[in-house]
Amino acid sequence: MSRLLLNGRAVEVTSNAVTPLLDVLREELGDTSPKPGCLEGRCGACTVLLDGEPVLSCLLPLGRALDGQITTVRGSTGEGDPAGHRLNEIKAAFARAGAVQCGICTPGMILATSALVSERDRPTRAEIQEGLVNNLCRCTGYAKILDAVESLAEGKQPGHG
Amino acid sequence: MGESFHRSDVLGKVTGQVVYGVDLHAAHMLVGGVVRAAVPCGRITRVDTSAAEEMPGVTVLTAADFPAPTYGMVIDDQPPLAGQWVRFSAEPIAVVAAPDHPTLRAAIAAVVVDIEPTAGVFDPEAALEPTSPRVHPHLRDYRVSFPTERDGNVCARSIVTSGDVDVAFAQASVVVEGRYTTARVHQGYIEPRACLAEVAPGGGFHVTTSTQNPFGVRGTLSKILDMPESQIRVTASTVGGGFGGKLDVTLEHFACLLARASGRPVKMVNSRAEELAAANPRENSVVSIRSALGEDGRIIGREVLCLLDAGAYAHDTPFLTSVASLQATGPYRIDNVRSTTLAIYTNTQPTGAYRGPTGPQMVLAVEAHMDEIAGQIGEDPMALRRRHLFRDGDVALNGQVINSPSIEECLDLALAAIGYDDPREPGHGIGISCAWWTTTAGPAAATARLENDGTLAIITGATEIGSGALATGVVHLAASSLGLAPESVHLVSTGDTGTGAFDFGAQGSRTTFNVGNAVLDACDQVRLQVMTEAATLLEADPDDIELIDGAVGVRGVPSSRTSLSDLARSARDRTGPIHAAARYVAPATPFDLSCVGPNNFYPAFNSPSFHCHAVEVAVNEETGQVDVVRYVVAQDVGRALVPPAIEGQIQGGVLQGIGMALYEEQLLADGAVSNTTLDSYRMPTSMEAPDILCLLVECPSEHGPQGAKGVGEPPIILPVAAIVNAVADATGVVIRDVPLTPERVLDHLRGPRARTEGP
Repeated sequence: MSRLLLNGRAVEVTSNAVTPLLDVLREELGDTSPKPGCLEGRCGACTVLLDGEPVLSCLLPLGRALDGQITTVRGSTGEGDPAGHRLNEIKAAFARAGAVQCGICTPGMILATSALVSERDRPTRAEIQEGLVNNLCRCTGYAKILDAVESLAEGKQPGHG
Repeated sequence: MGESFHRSDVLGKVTGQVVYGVDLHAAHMLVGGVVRAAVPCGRITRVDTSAAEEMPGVTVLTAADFPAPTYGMVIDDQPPLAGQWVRFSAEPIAVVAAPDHPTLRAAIAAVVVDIEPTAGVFDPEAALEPTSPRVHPHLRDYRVSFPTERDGNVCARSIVTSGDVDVAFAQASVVVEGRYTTARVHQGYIEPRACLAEVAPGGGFHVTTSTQNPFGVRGTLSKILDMPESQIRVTASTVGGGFGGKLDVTLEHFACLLARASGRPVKMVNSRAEELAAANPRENSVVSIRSALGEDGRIIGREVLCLLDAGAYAHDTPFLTSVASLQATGPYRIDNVRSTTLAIYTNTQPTGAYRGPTGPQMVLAVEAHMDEIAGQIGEDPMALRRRHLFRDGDVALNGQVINSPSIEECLDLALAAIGYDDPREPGHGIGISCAWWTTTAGPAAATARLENDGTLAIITGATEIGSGALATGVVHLAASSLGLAPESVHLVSTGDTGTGAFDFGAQGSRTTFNVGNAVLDACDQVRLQVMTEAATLLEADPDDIELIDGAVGVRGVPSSRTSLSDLARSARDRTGPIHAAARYVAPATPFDLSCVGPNNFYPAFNSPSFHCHAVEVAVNEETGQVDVVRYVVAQDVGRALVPPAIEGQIQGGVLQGIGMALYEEQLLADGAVSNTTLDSYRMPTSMEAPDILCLLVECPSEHGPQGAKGVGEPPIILPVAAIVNAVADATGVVIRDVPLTPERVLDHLRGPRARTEGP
């Protein structure tokens, strides 16, 4: 039995230390918001935040996550949770900008965005492109995702630019 | 950027709460997996499952356990599991269910399969040789659900002809020829195929699956399982991308029979390697095209031969042959045409529909060829296009009359936006492509129900796969029809054969068009019921009732305003609940039977849309790297129902097309896919996303809901051609084979063929 800090709450897990964090979250804890897109660390759909940093949970062994704070889109609103920086605001920006189509990449994309805007308050479009490079999206061509993130930086309503 | 908009499924998606196929779960479920061949062609001499079956909780099925020996969308050529012959590497040979993944992996490894390799054929042109091995020696004896012309390794042949092409070539003053090839590319949806099958009380099955086409899956399951459709319920989960790749069964039949054999629900999910090696990617193609030019430079005749590699099983490729044939002229009037498309078996992974099927291949051939014709006769390529563009009333190669083509407007807009006439920066080039495309028909149905809270519930068998066709398009249509806010329209059930009437599936840019028409009809009936009830309730003439902002009232009497909520309750108790069902089939598009033979599944382009793409690229002549600098799309959408949603379709489709043009390619080694990871099969990232300017042209469809045409597929069909033309503009070298990898570009720039290469 080990303890994990998930979305600000301590939870107990029985999985062994080498189990990928993705499996622990989805199968043991029932949080299916991180997605198994490729299970080889390339698509980014399984992205979660570990102490505010994006990590590929399909590759990260549970043992490496035990001392840190894990954030997922399902569990965190970002309010009073510094690890999930501006999450609700980002979710709303994605919805408004049309940044969501099939949505399978969306949880990972939102968390990667959270990390990006916590590091740089006003990232340029090129910096946003670089910051999201590990998260594949096959539906949107990224344009409206980039618009959504830009709207956060500019503090304006996406869609009214 | 358009205005912000409502999308009915977005809250569940940004909070990670919606349930995709990969998220499905049932109490006591087992996990299933597939034992696959490791050689591309051979005779199976032994399948020994005994060691696997001794493992606790493990169930194994082989070919003999499946009621139907073969199935297929067009030709019954595919055994559910290979029993005697292996026809492609990664072909399923046995399926296994186990209590957990480690046991599943061990059980799959414990199944012993011996295959005696035989000679295979891995290339569609080689497969046409009379001496090549036959992938299906008994092809002519197979049962078909649609007539196909088949012979040797050809499983379907489509021919569309108009005028007299031989006379045209005999009279030609110049003949220009070209041969264009494209690689096999994968749909690349991020969610792999996934499903959960449960035995239903009474003995049927309930399958929940990540599918674009639940009714299609049900039909195929009925065939494979030899069970009436009424005993099978197929429910689409939230779908994590489809793009044509999730139109028919892949795992569902396995999961059903494993569930029955084990007595437990069974969940199956493809690995990424299985997705890349054993799904149905877009056909690699070889298109040969030649044009006869009159003395005035008019194209007086054209002949096209398109070879589509069907892989080991036909799947839906025979249907696609006629879609390819119809594109032989592009959006241009050419009077004498012979357009032939062959679907050809090889011992490779079966191919199939991918967004805009055969579009990128045919538009590449037609549009690169247009530039080459212009080069050969010394004319400006845009002038050549303008002289041939469809005009109102022109007749296309299939005899279809072209009404109000918007192609010239699209061309004008795109050329102006890209600055076609401006001088190029060094190393930069601009490429243009034009095309027309279809809005697929097929039956649709919907029920609309006024709820007690005054909102509208929609139930339809159609499926939302992420495009927003239902979640934005249909919701918008229903809301505007009844004067409701889009937030007051709820898609309460979609993509479920248990609740909705038949729908032809999320394919062919058809959902908003066809389901939208059914929903508009249902909403008209709902409005009539609302008006009737309001007239009774308000003691007024029905003609004096108005429906505005979610309320009814007598015109000119503000005090009479009554909420739809009160009205719904009143009607429920007085006459029964307000609701209406409607169904829709688009009128058939007339065409000429003497042009289009009986073996053409897709004889005409319905409510055709017109398109022009313009791209500026930068070519690094040292490294061969091609970068997309700017991209412009001018697209006739009929009527732009929800502009930001259309822009999303355009931007996504264009980037998929850019991937196909520049680097996406399934590499085959002796028939087997060798790049089965997302590192080796590289798809565009955010770094490769160019700015895409979307110019929406509105030339309404006579039959479309509020004039709308299909918008989802066309954005992917033009980029390959536009980029090939842009690279030629930048370098002076036409590269007729895609993808334009740096190696290939360098090879052409530095090789002996550079700048002197003929067709």
